Amino acid sequence: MDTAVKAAFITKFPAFAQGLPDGGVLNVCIVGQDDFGAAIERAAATRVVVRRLPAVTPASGCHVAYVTGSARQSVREALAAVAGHPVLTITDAGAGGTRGMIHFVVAGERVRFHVDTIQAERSRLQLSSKLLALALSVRR
Amino acid sequence: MTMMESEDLGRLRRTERRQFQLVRVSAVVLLLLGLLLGIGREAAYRLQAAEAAEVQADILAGAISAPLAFEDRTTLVQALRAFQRNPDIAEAIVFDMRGQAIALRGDSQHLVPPSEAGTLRQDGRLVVTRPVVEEGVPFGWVRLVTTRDPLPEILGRYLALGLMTLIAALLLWFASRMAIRLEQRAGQLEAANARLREEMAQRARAEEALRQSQKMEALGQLTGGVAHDFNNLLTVIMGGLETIGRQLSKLPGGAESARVLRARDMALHGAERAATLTQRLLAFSRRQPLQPQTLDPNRLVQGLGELLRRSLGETIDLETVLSAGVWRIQADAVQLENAMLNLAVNARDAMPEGGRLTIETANTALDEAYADSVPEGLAPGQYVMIAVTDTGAGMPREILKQVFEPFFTTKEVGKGTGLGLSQVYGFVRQSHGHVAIYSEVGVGTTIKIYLPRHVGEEAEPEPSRAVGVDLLVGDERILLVEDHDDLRSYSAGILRELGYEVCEARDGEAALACLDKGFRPDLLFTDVVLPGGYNGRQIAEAVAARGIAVPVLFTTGYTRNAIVHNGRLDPGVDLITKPFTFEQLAEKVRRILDRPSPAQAGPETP
Repeated sequence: MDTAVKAAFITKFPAFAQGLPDGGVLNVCIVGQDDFGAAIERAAATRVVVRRLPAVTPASGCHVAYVTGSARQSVREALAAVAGHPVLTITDAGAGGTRGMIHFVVAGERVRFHVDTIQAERSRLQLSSKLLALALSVRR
Repeated sequence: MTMMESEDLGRLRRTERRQFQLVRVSAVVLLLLGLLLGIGREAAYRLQAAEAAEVQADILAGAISAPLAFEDRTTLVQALRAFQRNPDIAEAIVFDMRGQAIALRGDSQHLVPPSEAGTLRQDGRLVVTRPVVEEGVPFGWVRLVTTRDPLPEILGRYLALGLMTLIAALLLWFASRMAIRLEQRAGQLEAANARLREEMAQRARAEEALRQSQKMEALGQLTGGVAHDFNNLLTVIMGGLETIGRQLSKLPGGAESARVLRARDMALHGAERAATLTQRLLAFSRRQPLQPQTLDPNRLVQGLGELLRRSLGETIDLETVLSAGVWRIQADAVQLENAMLNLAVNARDAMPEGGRLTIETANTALDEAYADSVPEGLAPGQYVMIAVTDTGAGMPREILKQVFEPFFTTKEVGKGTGLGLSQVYGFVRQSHGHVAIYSEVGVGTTIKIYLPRHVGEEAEPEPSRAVGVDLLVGDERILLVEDHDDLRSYSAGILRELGYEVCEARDGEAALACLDKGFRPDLLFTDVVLPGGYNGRQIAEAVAARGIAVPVLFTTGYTRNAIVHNGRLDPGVDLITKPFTFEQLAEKVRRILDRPSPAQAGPETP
């Protein structure tokens, strides 16, 4: 249940972020463990390409990086790898406390998220205030 | 009012009509404009309302895009609640991409999942559906349903239009009313104008008729005056000629005396014709003393038959249509016969090719309306009509107006005197009657004489006795009053020749002087019109006042009021008309003197 919600959320975040490179296709990179399967593609309202990478680099061409930490690259390493580049980073409380720009948590049986605008600004991404209004917390 | 002014009136009316047409058209234009404006305004208002609702929907869409995207129902519902607090918005509904509706009210009628954006108007509400899109990514739809416009607002919106319509309608109504009223007024004005014009025409006709009658009156005075003087002269002339004749007959006959006698006869004949003319003039001037008697008009016409037939000639048929039971009239028989003869002669001259002359008699009544139309004046009442109709040439209108004027004639010079119809006119008028003339050119002419019905005692006409001249002598005393010297000596000569004793007086004073000298007359023979203080009647009264009961014989060619009452002689008063002949005077004097009780023959005091 949460998985499907998260999959839908992942495709929706870019709509609330400005500064991501344009392109007809939304590239979603997943670094680490995930249970999504084809859920992301199914949930997306736009064309989405999901790539599962062992490690992410700025050259990976990701718009969104869902980072749970792989054998090759920890969450922290992955975040550091794309820091300063226009990649919307998403982390999950289920995969540790390290937070990306958006950090999924499950609160009261609902999938919610924290937002870190400092990291986003560092990557020259502008997160919508509408998004911030829904966040459990915002780090500025 | 003249025709010109009537045209002005017409122009004014046309202008007024045009102006009202203008007002009417303006009102209609105003009405249409108001409607158009109203419709335009309404359309603009709806467009604006729709746009406003769309903007609201877009705002809602912006506000709920994140909660919708991230399924934050709480935030979503809060946003919807906040929106629905807007009094203009009845419902705010959000649909997600699957068409699942999130609404505050479950019973909403607007939960049908949308397929596209749009703005609808349903039952006075706007239903606005807008997509929820963030950076080109659709997340669902919002739908706003506005509240119905509150009544005051609708009224306010339509008030101006309604007012405008009302004003235009009022204007239209008012203009129509005014137009109708003005039309009525104009109609009334026109009617009044027509009435006025008719009255003016009537007045003009009346004035024309009055002028005509005044002209006749003036002519009458003129001719009367001339005829009066003429009569005196003719009396002298004829007297002289008769004396010449009588004296000649005493002389031994011879060629010389025969020639003189012939000349005398010719002169006398001429003088008699002149006397006839002056009689007619007097008749026209209505100063001819009439001796009216009660007449049966039918008998008079029948009696005239032979004479008329002779005057008409063989080419003209005479037809008489005499109504049974025609009333009696009182008129001078001789003058009436003269009048009939004059009419017959005129009719004959109008029918040179022959034809038919019809004489009708009938009883008739002339009512007040008819009497009023006679400018000379006529008493309404019962009349006997004697109509003379010919089948001759007829006369045009212009001539009809003049036919009664003396000396007016259409006949050739020397053929007519122009006095025939004048005599008819004067005689009938003097007899309190009326003459009407109807003529159609080419058809004929009818002249109707109306004479008043006589009701009362029938005065038997005095039987005329044929008396020989030699029996007319006498030795009675006669007081002769006459201002005309020649005439006085002529009369005195006759009377003296007959054996009478005569005291001559030229006026009232002289007459009384005769009495003072001890002259006791058996007869007073006096002119009616005299210079000085007395007229004939007054002399008669003065004589009577002195206790001298004496019959009076008046003479005149010209009588006004002295002895003639309303143009008629009082019964018992004797009159000899100038000019008179020896025989006429002799006979008249003798007849009066031979009456059984001469005392009663005096003039009645009025």
